[in-house]
Amino acid sequence: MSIKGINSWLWILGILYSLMALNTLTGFTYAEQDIIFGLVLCVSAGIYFFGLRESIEKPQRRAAHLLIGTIFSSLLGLFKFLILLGSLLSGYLEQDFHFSVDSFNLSVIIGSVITLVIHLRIRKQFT
Amino acid sequence: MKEKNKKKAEQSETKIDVGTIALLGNPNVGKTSVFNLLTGMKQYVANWPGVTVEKRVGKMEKENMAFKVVDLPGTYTLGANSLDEKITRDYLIEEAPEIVVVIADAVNLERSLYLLFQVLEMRGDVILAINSIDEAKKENIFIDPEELQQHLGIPVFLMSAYTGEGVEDFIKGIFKYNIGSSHVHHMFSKELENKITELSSIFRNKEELKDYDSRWLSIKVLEGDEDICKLTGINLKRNFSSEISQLRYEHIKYILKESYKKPGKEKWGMNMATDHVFTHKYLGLAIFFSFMYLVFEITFTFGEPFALMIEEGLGAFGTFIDGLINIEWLANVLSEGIVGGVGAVLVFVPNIFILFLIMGILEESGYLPRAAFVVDKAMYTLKLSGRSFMSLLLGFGCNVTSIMSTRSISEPQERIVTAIVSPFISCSARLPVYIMIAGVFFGARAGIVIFSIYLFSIFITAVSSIFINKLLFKGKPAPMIMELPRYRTPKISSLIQYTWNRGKHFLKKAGSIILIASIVIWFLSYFPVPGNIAESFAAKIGHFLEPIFAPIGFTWEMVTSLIFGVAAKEVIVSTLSTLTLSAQTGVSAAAELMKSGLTQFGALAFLMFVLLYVPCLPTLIVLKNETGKWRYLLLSIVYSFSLAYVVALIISLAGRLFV
Repeated sequence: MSIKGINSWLWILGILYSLMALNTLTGFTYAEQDIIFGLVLCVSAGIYFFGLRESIEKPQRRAAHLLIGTIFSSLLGLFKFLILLGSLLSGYLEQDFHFSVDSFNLSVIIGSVITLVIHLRIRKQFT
Repeated sequence: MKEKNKKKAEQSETKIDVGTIALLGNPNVGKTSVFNLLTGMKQYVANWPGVTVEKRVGKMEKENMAFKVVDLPGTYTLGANSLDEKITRDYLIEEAPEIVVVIADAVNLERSLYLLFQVLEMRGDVILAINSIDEAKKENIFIDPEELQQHLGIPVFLMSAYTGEGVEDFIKGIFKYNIGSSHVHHMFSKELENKITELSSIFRNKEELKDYDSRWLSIKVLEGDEDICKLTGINLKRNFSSEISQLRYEHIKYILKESYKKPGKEKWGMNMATDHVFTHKYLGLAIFFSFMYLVFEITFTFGEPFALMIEEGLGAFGTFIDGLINIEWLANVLSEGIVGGVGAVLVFVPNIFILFLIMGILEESGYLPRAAFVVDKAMYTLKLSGRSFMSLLLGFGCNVTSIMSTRSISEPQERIVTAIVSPFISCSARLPVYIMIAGVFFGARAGIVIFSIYLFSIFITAVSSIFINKLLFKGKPAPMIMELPRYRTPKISSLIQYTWNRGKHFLKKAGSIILIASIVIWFLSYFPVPGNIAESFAAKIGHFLEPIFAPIGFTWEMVTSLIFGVAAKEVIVSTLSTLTLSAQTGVSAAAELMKSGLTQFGALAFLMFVLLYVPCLPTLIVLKNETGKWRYLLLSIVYSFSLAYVVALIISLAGRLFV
């Protein structure tokens, strides 16, 4: 991936995850209010933004932020998916479903699929 | 089957005991993995240094020969600066194993050879096994074993305990080795050699030193090794340690010149890139805490349905037993005492296993040592080092292991402080209590409450270490010198083994101490008036101590459970289940407590008390053994109880103020 591509993705994902964090912190739309998970999303956004603070002369360092940021974001999606799975199983066993679209923060799961694809691309640069 | 076993036993009896093999090496070079390969055992292995805190023994057999195999703690030198270095050195001197296998890291061969040279100075019959050859190949490192063998004068094997490459040749090599065939020395400068000869001639004539290699004693005296100077009674004015060390490294460089080729410029690969972010000045800590949150949230939420399944199964089993037995007290002891008591703890097995599985992934991947590196700066202000953090991290599994692992901390003061504060790290035994109480009182927020308790446990550990350091010592910690291991993809088999090894400890406790405690608690709650728990012995004990806890608002059931919880923290759950008759009513003990008027603040005060109050009995015993003094044990009991009481009281008072 070119340095231009790396920079673009750092910007896009940084902004995207900041918005997700804001949405989760406030419970604005399609997400339940969850302060701690919102802060975790801030950390994810932080990984991308700190990448942009790295010297332009050292593209590997910027790429490192994209590499780790994308895997971290993917893990957050996996986390939400497991939580959803756990809730569904509990609901099935107790025959009592308290299920809402907001509870599993759809944007995080969709975001994780996108970041996983980017991760697999940037990973090639390091192996 | 019997025939087969008999035959096997006979075969085992006829094996010739050849002697002992000691496995030695730097921390995290894979000694325990090699040990497991040789012996077929399944000892705890992790991708971080300091895992082996005491020697482990196994047996290796082939055809008609058998070796005893001893896995020694990892060490960089054979000085005696830390307890594990001392364990290793004392073992080599006192037990004199027939063969010493030095396990070296293929990627960091130079440092591994430094230890090898010290072993060669001490004794003969040494084999060099260069592990992680798969990693070396990935990094385009070339190693010529024949060349190395020629220079070192000892057998050299290339292998990978991870992939199994070269293991068979290594095992064959051990069995083929001719014991007593070699003792190689490398030479120092002329000046040093003269001094070594001079001192050696003195030591050879001393009867009390006849069990030691006189050349090794001489080198140690020249290095100014305190123990050896004391032993020999010779204390030189000048210390030659830096010259000796320099000469060893020069010799190693000379040997490696032809036999070890590493690509010149280090590639900015996955390891460096990952480290760049994970150990980032600002992001490092934030990432660590994020991981911690995710781990505990998953442990609670994802484990819930599995816990429900076990709960339903045990409930049905209890009812079945109840209907099967006509004798009332027997049916009661089986269904409520044993199934209810032990079952109340077993329900949390899925949560414990999930926690260990995720911790296993973090350990195996090599992330946890990075966490230690990140918090090292913060730890230094607490007068502890990142090495202490590694010990404390083990405490999330079990405080006993955590205290035992403090042996690898070289500073005695830091070691004692770490051992005393270790029980504040929330061990897995407390998790069932948290899940039971938080699940009912905090509903959907239970995961966050549990995560907060874990964070609080880290905070209290930090504050306590400052306090105890000030109270007992005024020393500064030694800076952490710990090489970060390489990242690697965790193997499924290793993860299963890791999770099982740690989780089975919990199951063993359920079948032993918790079972006994459940029967005792049932007895105390059933008699003297069967069926009337309010008149039982347990109620009397609880009521007797209730006034002490009245300011916090704990009920007598909670007080009694805390007393029995000193045996093992999980017993709190089984005691509460028995005393609140929750097994009879089919609801959680916590729900019964809620009915009795306990508020969210009261529940939180109880959880904090469970976190902080007196450590369990096995932890107390290990604490006394490791610190060696009763006063440290007493300090731990008094300090933890007082702290628990004060924190619970503050929460309870806050509750009364706000609710």
